[in-house]
Formats: sequence, C-alpha cells, structure tokens
Amino acid sequence: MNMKNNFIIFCSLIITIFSILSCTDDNKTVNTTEFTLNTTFPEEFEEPSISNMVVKFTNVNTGRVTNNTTFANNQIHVTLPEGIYHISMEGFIQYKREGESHEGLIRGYEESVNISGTTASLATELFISQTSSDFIIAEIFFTGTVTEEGQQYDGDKYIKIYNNTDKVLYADGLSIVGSAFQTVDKQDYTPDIMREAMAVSSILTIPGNGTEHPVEPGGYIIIADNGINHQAQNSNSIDLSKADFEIFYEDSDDIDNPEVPNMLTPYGKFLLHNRGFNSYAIARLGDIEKFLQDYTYDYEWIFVFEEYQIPCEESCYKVPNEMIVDAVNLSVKSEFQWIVTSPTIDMGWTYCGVIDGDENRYGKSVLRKTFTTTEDGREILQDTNNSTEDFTPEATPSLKK
Amino acid sequence: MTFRFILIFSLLFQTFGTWAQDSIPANTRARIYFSPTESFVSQIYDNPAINYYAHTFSISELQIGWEQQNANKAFLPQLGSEVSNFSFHAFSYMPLGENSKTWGNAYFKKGKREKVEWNETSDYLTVYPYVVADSVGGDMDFEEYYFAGGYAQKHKRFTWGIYANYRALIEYRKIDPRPRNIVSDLKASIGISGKLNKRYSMGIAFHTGKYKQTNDVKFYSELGSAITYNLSGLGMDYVRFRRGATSLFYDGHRYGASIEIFPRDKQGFSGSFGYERFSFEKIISDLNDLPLNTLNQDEMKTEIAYTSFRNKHQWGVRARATYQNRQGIESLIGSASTNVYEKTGEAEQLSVKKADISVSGVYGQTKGDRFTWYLSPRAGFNSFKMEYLDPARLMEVNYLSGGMNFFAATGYKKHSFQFVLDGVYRKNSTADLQLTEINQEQIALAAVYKAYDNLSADNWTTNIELRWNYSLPKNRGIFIKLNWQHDSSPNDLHRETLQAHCGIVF
Repeated sequence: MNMKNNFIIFCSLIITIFSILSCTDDNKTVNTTEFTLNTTFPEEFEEPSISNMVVKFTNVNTGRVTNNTTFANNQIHVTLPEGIYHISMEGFIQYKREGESHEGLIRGYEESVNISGTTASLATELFISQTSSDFIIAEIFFTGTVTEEGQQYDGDKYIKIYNNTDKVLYADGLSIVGSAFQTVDKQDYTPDIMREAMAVSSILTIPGNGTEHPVEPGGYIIIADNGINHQAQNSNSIDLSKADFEIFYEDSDDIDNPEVPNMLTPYGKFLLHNRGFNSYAIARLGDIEKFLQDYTYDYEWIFVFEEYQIPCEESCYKVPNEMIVDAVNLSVKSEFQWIVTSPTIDMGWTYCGVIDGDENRYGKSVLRKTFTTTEDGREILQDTNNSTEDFTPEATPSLKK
Repeated sequence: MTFRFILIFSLLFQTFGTWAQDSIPANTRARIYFSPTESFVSQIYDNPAINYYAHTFSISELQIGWEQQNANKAFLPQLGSEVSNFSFHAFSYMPLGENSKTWGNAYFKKGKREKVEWNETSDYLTVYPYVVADSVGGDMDFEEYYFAGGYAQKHKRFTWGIYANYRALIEYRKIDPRPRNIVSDLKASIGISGKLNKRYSMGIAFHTGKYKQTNDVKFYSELGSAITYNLSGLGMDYVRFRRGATSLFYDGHRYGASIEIFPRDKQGFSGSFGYERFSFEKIISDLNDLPLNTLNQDEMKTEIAYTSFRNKHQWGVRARATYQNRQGIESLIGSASTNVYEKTGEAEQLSVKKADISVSGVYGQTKGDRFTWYLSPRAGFNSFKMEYLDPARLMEVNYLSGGMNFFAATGYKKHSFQFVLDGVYRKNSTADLQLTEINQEQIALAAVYKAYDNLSADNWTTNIELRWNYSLPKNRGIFIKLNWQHDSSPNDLHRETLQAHCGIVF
C-alpha cells in the first residue's frame, strides 16, 4: 500500500470520528420530581370547603416561582425540577366551628423543602391567619440615611404604629419586640417554639396608665430612635423632633430629647438592624414583670464554623402568638433563609436592599400598602398577615414625603 | 518583578544565542520564519516530537512591545472594550546537537483592560459563563507571565519530544468592586513519531494540564456594595448567591491525545487529529468550599493539508475543522441549616456547541532575499450555539467568512522589509436569540443583549504589518515592527489596535 492510500485512510478515519462525535444530538432534560402536597385542617374545623387555592413554589437557588392552582381533594400534584423550595399556599375557606359558619383566608407555609427523586410528598397543616382589632405596624424605617459626605447616619430610624380600626385605641402598655433570631441565619434551635411563639431579644413598652395615649381611627404614633431634628446635622435626614416617643438607653452614648417621652426598656437593647436581618412585632404582654417571670426561653443550638461544631446555650424571652398584635419579618433577598415568626402571624417578609449591604438601601423604608379609603378619608391599610403582600419594600419614608 | 523578568530572559537568550549561531543570515531566517509557508501547517507541531521538524534553522528573538486598542464599544463587554499594555517577549528554536532540538518561549505583559462589564473573573473565554459579575465593572489592571519550553530528540526510526508551558495571570482593580484574580495554567505534552517510509512519519502525543483561578471580589465602601451575580448562562444566575458568594476558585484539569501523519521535508500530504477534554469546578470558598458549577468541555480539531514549497511556484492547500462541546452542570444546594450549605444534586442546564471550519490556500514565489511574495485566500464557516435547558433559552449565530492575506518581503544590503496585508469579511448567516421567563431582576441579561448585538452583525477586519530588519555583525539583526488593525461592523462598532515592537534577532 502506498503513502497516498495511507493518507486517504487516515483522513477518512478523522472525518468519520469527527462526524460521529459532533453529530450526536443530545436531547437532555432537567430531572423533575412528581410532587404531592397533602394538606390537613385544624381539628376544630367542620365541613371545610376550600376554593381558589394558589400554591406558590419558590425555587431557593434560582428564585424561579411556579404557581399551581390544581388543588383538589385536599392535595395537589405538581411536576417540579429537583431543588429546594419554599412553599406558600393561600385560598378561600368556608367552614363551621361549634355550629357557626365562618369564612376567610386559609394558608399554608413550608420552608426549604427538598424536592428530589422521581416522586416526593409532604403533609402540611393549613391555618387561618390570626386577626386582631388592634394596632398594626404601618412602617419601619430601619436603614438610616447617608450624609452629604457619603457617611452612614444612624439615629434617624423610626417605627410607625397605626390604628387600622374604626375605634379609638390606647397605646399604653403596647410593646415593641425585636426578634432574637435573624431571618438570614437559620439554626436548629432546641426546643423549637417557632410555631407557637416568637423568640425576642429586646422589648420596648409605651408608658401610660391605660388611657394616657389614645390614638384615633386612622391615627398613628411615631417611635423614633432619637427624637430630634436630624436635618440639622444631615440634610438628607428627617425631622423626628415631633415623634411621640423615642428610644433612650442611659448606659449608652444616646441622645435624650426631654421634649419627647422615652419608651420603657424592660428588656434588652432594642436596635433596628440597618440591613434588615431582624423581625419586629407589637404585642400586648400584660403585666410586664409577670411576663418577664413566666416567659423565659432557654435554648440550645450548635455553632458550626468550617470543621468546628460548638454547642451553645442561650436564653431570651418568648412571646406567645396570642400576645402578638402584629409582626413584620424583614430580610434581604440574597440572604433570606427563614421567617422567625409563626406563619400564622406573618407568613412573608419584606426588605430594603436586595443584597447584604446593598448600597442603595439607605433612606428607604418598608411601608404598608393602603387597602382602601373610607368615605370620611380614613385609610384602611392592608393586613393579611403576609408582609410580602402587605408592604411596599424600598419605599420612600412617609416622614420624608 | 518586571525588571527581573526582562533581565533573566535577556541573559538566558543571550546565552542561547552564542550556542545557536546559524550560517543563514539573520534577516533571511526572520523572513522564512514569519512567511506564510512556514506556519501553513501548524497543528502537527502540537506533538513535541514533530516540532523537531518544524524549522531547518535556528532562530531567537527578543522584543519589547506596546499595544493600544481603542474602541467605541466592546465586542464582548465581558472582555472590555479597550486594552493597553507593555510587553516583553522572547522565543528561541535551535538545535542542541546533531539529533536534538530545543525551543522556548516566554513573555511578560503588564497593562490594563478597560471598560470591562458584567465580568469580574479572569480568562472569561475559558470559564464562561460561570463568572462573577456586577453591573458596575470598570478597568482591570493585569500582569501576565508565560514560560514554555520543549525538547525533541531524533533516533534512527523514531523521534520523541516533551513540552510544557506555564501561564500566570494576576488581574485586579483598586476601586469597588475590587476583584483580585490569580490564574495558574500549566500544560504539558509528550509525543513520539516513527518513520513510515523515506518521507513520511506518523506521530502520537498525549497532553495534560492543570488550571486554577482564585477569584475574590471585595467591596470596601462602608455604605455597602453593588449586587454581584454568579452567572449560569444567557442571563440566568444563582439568585440565592447574589452578593454572598464572591470568594471562589476554579479548579480544572485537561487531558488529550493527538495523532499525526506528515512528510518530514514538509512536501506533501499531512494530517492531524486531536482530542482534548477540559473540566473545571467553580467552588465557593466562603461557603465551606461549596461546588457551584461543573463544566466539561470536549474539543476535537483536525487539519489536513497538501504542500509543495520547494519549486519556484510554491503552493499549498489546507482544511481545518474544530468542534467544541461544553456541558455546564449546576449544583442543587440544600437547606442552609446551621449555615452549612450542602450539594444535594445537580442539573445539566447548559450546552455550548462551537464549530469552525476553514479551507485556505497559499501561492507564492521567492527569489532569495531579493523579493518574496505569497497570496493566501481563505474561506470559512463558524457556528456558535448556546442553550440553557430550563427555562429554555438559546443564542445561535453562524458566520460565513472570506479573507485574503498578502505577504511580501524584500532586501537591500543590510536592510530587509516585510509587509503583510490581511483582510477578512464575516457575513452573519444565522442569528437567533430566544429568551423565556425573563424578569426584571435578571439585569445581567444586559450583557447577553450587548454580546448578541455584536455577534449577530457582519464585521470585517483589516490588518497591516510592516517589519524592518537590519543586519548586525556576528549574524545578528535588529528589527522594528508596526502593526495596525481595524475592526468594524455595521452596528456602529469601530475598533483600532496599534502595536509597536522592536528587538533583536539572532
């Protein structure tokens, strides 16, 4: 065989290998799971009938949202790409309890559900959101502002508490609590009280004998970090000298405006985390001394860092869901891991800043949406116990408008 | 470091130069070395054993250079629109004895890539699309070091050779966002060739390599930072790891083999086929070394040619084809309970298929050092198809291209001149961009749109190079080389690149 033939054989071989390898068409698909979500109802519900149930699956890694409306026979079947999902459900329910007919919104909530394999299933108990005819948190301005020199400015944060009812409410004794746990750091805290109570690391209480601080329907009170005119120091800031109350701790480098009453500080040091890692609630704790005696929460968890695992024991207070009037979970989109309240009092979360340390978050607040306005001009704010739906994130603070 | 690099290599190559005295004048060797016929067949020399037959003379060159590229916008925003750098480059090819040859290559570059957008990672074309990106971007300072060396020895029936190269790259920015990237890229080959008959040999070679890049993006502003994205292709990203995962590394390796058939005297048919697999993992260091992506790349390339360069009428024809298939895999990350992220599964989401086919010819005549010219026409087809599986997304662009290269060299006494004029026109034949499930938060799509705008447009390139050589005593020479390139496309993209080099050849 001469060289020309050798060469032709060589070229033919190359062309054949090239053709085979490059022309293989790969019809690949992403692995999916046939997922069944079974739901149950609280035992006291009689003849429950559910309609318009929407189940939202949020893929934690990709942020992709899949809505499903095939709820029937107390379950849904859905095909999802494998992954970790947050699941939230909301629908309309008619039911009887002790012979009386009721109707309203029914919900379900599960976090970080691993959906993988060819089939998977999960059982979850639906719940009816707690309702109360008391104050609600209308706004939290937790980010602070930036000076003209581009420096962070603290002290001009505030919380706005609103009377969303049609009757006069008294703010006396109303407490504002800050969560002990953070929405960006999920740990296995033992014992787990998350469904029944909120673990808190600080409590503020509005002073008064019960009738000192009336708030008209549609009225509000402002609780300022420092109740001064911050615009005197920072033109980008807010005048809080007319706040109803301010937060003052004697043992810290804090400003006390004698013209603004101070909040009572029965427990811990209340801080508004300026990146939005904590959650906040308002609660009626009753006799505060008795509360501090009866509701301690001792818990354990394991601090993990690289290969180290350090068992930790800590203590704080727990506020039972029944005492909580309203709650708002705050978090950061890129960092969110869990909500630190029971989903029955808030099954969502809101934010200022989509990443940890977002440089665009300053001067923005979370502001509750207006549901409707009455004929006499009173705003009724939206309160579905889902902060994701009820709040406008990254809003212009109402005191800055 | 720059000064030390230049000093060491100047001394090294001066030493080589004293060994490598060649009877052929330096100007002649430079003309032959850079002529189109000398590099017309090139793929077979990936086998270090065959590189023994690459040149019949020795040549060494030391040069310093400067490059400035200006453009009204970037062709690929991830690479930046403008470049300026200073470089030092040295190469050598020489016999060490009667039956052995060695060669080496080293360069150092220091400069700046300007207006880099949607990419804070180095070696974008190696690790794409799995880069860290933000909407801010900016200029990137860089320093690059490259060292390569090979050795081949001929025996009666066979020849063997070894080769290795190492590239180190440091890229950084001194204002937020502040990437600091360090690349180490090591490649090595070993090959053998055996005689089939009086003229032809056949060779086989094995190739391997190790790739590593650390990519660390920091923000020092007390007010916070811009959003950073861990991109997954066609505007997709890990929503869960926006901002949080900016300290990471790429850990890769490569292996491959090639087979060649060639005439040892460069006259006749030659053919080569090579396969290489390159894989890397993108690992997030600040999340307990969490593997986020895996990419597997298979590449095949072939070159078939016939050359007749001995006669008065020198000519050759050549066909080349390259096919590259990249498969991108995303890790499924479980619940971060106790702040420990664990990989729970994976999904093969990305596919990139790239094919380049070209045919070219060369014809020319040479009258010694007095006058030489070559004309090299070429035509080609390039295809690029990138698909994201779920949600379904696709970018596909195909080109037809045609070009011509003209080379002329002439000499007078101690002076010689080389002139190269090159032009290529690429006509887009297919362009398709399909994006589903777009939402406002996927602002990294801006880079996809920008890249697609340029990739889907026709474009042309003109290049002119002029080199002046001057003979010095002891068979050495000095040279000055100027190069100007203009790239343009109808979608208002204009890019000018100017290079100037000078050096010594011996």
